[in-house]
Amino acid sequence: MSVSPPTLSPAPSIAMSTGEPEANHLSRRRLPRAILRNPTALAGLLILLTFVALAVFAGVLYPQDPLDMVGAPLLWPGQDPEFLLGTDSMGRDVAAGLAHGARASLLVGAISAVIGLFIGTLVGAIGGYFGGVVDDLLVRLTEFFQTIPTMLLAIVIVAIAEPSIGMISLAIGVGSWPTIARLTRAQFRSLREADFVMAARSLGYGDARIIFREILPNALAPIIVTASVMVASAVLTESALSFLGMGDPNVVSWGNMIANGRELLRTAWYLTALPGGAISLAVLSLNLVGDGLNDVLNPRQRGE
Amino acid sequence: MNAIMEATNLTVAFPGTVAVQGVTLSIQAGETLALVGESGSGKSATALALMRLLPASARILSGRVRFEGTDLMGQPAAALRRLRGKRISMIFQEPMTSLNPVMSIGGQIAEVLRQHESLSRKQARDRAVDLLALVRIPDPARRYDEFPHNLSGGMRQRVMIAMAVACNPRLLIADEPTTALDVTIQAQILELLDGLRRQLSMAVLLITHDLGVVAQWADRVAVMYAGRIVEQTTAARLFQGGGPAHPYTRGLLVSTIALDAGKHYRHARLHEIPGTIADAAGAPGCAFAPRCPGAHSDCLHRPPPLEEVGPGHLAACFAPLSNGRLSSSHGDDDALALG
Repeated sequence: MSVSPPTLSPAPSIAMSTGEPEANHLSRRRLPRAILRNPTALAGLLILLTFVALAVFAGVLYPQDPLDMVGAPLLWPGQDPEFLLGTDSMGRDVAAGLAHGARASLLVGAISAVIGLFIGTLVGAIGGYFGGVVDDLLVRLTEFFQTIPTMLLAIVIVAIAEPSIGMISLAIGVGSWPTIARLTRAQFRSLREADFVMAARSLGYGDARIIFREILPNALAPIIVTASVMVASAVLTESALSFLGMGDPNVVSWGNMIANGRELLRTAWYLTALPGGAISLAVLSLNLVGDGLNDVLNPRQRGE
Repeated sequence: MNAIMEATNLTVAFPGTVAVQGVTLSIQAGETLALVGESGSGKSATALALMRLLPASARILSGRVRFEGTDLMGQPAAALRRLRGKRISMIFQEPMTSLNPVMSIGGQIAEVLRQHESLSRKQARDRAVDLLALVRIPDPARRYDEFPHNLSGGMRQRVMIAMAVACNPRLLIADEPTTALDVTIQAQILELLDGLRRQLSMAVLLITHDLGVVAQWADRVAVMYAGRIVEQTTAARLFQGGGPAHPYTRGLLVSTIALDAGKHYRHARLHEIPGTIADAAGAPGCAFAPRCPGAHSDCLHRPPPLEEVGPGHLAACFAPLSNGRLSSSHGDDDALALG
């Protein structure tokens, strides 16, 4: 009956498998390198970093208020070396406008994404983790917000409140969190059954601890990917608001540059083309980063 | 000997089934109690009920669980959380998935320590390194920062054990700790557990379906069948002494392959217990009756109570076996290969 095992040495040296096939999870140290190896992500990251640098150093590069009239009106790009990208109908420097506009666009994009991420993650995590009545209520709330188009909600909020960068960001963030909430909820619903969550319960961890320290880090990959796309659509929404004249009137933004150039589209098309190109490039770069992150973070699509 | 964990008449229901029916069980300080049974017999549900960790769909219909003198059934959630991981801990079957994949193994051990004891980061780190050494992970200071996917299954189970024993628990529930590991690692892990049990003077509730493991590591054995404990005795009595009293236990014993008995499936047919565990679902009598060679009419009408059949030996059977043999006329396959 009794099967006696071979006697064991006190410190068994079990061979560590070096190339484990399911090494899905990238450690924090390996993530940057994986992004750099991915050409899509790298291209997106370079463009995005250029815009970020432009936004950060706008005040240094163009210390003057970009709304000031500084030169002759309607100078074409290259016509005057002082105004590399020309001037608009009021004699304002287009290059300065683009740099300061990057600031507004990226700021709105980032803040609204943070607001959307915060609300969406919280609602999705709580609903997905606890389930039951709490989940039902939160799903209804999410669906309620999802039926309202972000753009429309933003217009209403900005029309009621004053159009400042903060208010625009809040409006876009409040309109865009349902996507994140649904994604987070789905992640939490599957991960709350995971063995390591059960193990965490058996160690006496509380719910908050399990949600934020155990499950959330494991659910983060698709949320991050979605967030980068969210920034892109927030940039677009902000431009659209500014184009409609609902942006912050004291701040230059790509959207209102296009709006101002619209009437001169046939004679001075560069006034719309330049900020339009900037918007396209910024949105493209964010989408590229999102795609790249998806490739890097999503184990199912990686390495085929 | 004093019991540190006592479950009385524990009944647990899942939607549609009653997984545990009136289980009474006590674990003495410092001993290893093996809870044996096949899949679906209610072993894991019992263990989870002891820790009050059952999923939300499960209900504890009746019963009391006392741990170190306090009744766990009446405890608020916060008090239970203070017990779990500190006084009672648990390790699971799947070491591959029981560790958080995005946290370093040392960090996970330090987390447990900081959850239950007020330690600085530095102190927790030092203690975690000590614990990695305690579970015999080579080069613990360097291993501290590794992630679970860097480790083999056996190593991960060692990390799980380190987390479970971090706060010196009085009771460690090991739910099939070696089922997912290969046999050489299995023996190492069980030896480690047994060593830690002595070193930290804790009790171990070892849940397993492997009677070889029971014979070697357990002090006492409780056999579960269809949610009930059908036999409870010492390992010595079961394997060397009087043998099993319940026909189900005997069936389990004869259906194991005994290497030293020279048996092999090429020489003789392996014994099996006919039927499946689901056969008696909902029947009023003994759940084992449809599969039992010695079943008589009584067995079909009411479940037999768990009664003493010898010193420290309980069995739930109307016709308990003596010396591992059927007392009635059924002697067809009594070629018992008891060691």
